Amino acid sequence: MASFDLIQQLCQCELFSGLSKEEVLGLSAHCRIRHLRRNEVLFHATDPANFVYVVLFGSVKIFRSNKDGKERIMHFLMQGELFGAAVALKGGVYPVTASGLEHTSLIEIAAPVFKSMFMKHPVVGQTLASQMAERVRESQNDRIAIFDTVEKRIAVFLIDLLGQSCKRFGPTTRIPIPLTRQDIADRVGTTVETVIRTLSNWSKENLIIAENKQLDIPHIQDFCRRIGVDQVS
Amino acid sequence: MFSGKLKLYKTGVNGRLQIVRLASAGDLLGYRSLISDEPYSATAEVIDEAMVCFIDKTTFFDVLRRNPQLALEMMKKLCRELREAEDHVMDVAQKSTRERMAALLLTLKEAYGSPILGGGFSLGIELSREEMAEMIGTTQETVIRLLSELRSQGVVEIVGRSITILKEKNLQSLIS
Repeated sequence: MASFDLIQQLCQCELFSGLSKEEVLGLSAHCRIRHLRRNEVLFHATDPANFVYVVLFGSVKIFRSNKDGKERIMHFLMQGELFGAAVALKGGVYPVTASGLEHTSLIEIAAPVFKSMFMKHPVVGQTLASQMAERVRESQNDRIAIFDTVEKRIAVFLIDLLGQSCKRFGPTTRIPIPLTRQDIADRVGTTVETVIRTLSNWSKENLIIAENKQLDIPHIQDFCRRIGVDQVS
Repeated sequence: MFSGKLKLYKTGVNGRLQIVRLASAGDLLGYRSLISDEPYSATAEVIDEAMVCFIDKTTFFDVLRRNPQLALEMMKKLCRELREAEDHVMDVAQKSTRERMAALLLTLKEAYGSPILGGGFSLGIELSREEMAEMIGTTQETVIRLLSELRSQGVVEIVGRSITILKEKNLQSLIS
């Protein structure tokens, strides 16, 4: 991608909204655009945390593998989200693995450059802190969800994802990322067969519209009432 | 927090409580919800008479904006919290209740333990069996049974809510 495009993309990022044109130009010299295919690994857990990433287009999954090699997805990241930043600030290795959930484009920033921006521009720290706080909340909720029924876990996950999407991009009924049944199973900690059965039941009840990897929840309040959960903020 | 101890817990959709962390002198509470501009997502309750200092939102953000080094420390703290929460999700999915019990005792020893004469560590925090169950995601009955097993093996000594770890290595071998 030409350097003009990179500068344009940097300018459009909420994260860099506090930077002057000169600073964006300076930053662009230390960034590049990376493209990922579905399931292509960007970094593995225990790789040195040398770069910080921002999702430009597409989506990324962040996961850990257990001792048997089974994946547990911790977070799905959407357009505009930053990752790898906190660990790059403190130094060390990535604690998780990141891969593309679909064809995805990212901005890659060298860790020392990001750190200097963080120290100089409060807006960078605020954006990062807000996104990190959201992920802590998500993981802490997962701790409790482990004891819920699988149906509730899947529902809460989808409602939460839709809530995040509405907060970020405005009102919608569509889950903004393409999820396979396996992705959902790896996120909520169940089998793909259970996810297939659950989504199929909800489709028959007209609670969701599931086509290929796209999921719609047309009437979120009806859905929440049927499952017996609060609408997650 | 100036002194004492607090527990932070959340309630699941089934009404089950889960203690997400304990806090003692020097710990910071509530900052995550301020940062994400959301209501508090956990309840903080005193378990050992505590004294806390309140910092209002405006002052908090003002200090944070003017002090990048402090902002950096906050990020490290958030990073640790995220890591702990993710570890816990993996632990509950992978580890047996016995392993989680051993890990909890070792964590409490790291945070609140003090060496005693003749070897071993006294845990300077008194938790009910129910609170321990809420921390490792099990039932009170299972905690009572596991502690009783550890006591009969001479790994811990228990007087009421007070626990002393006598054989730390045995606990470590349970989780390794």
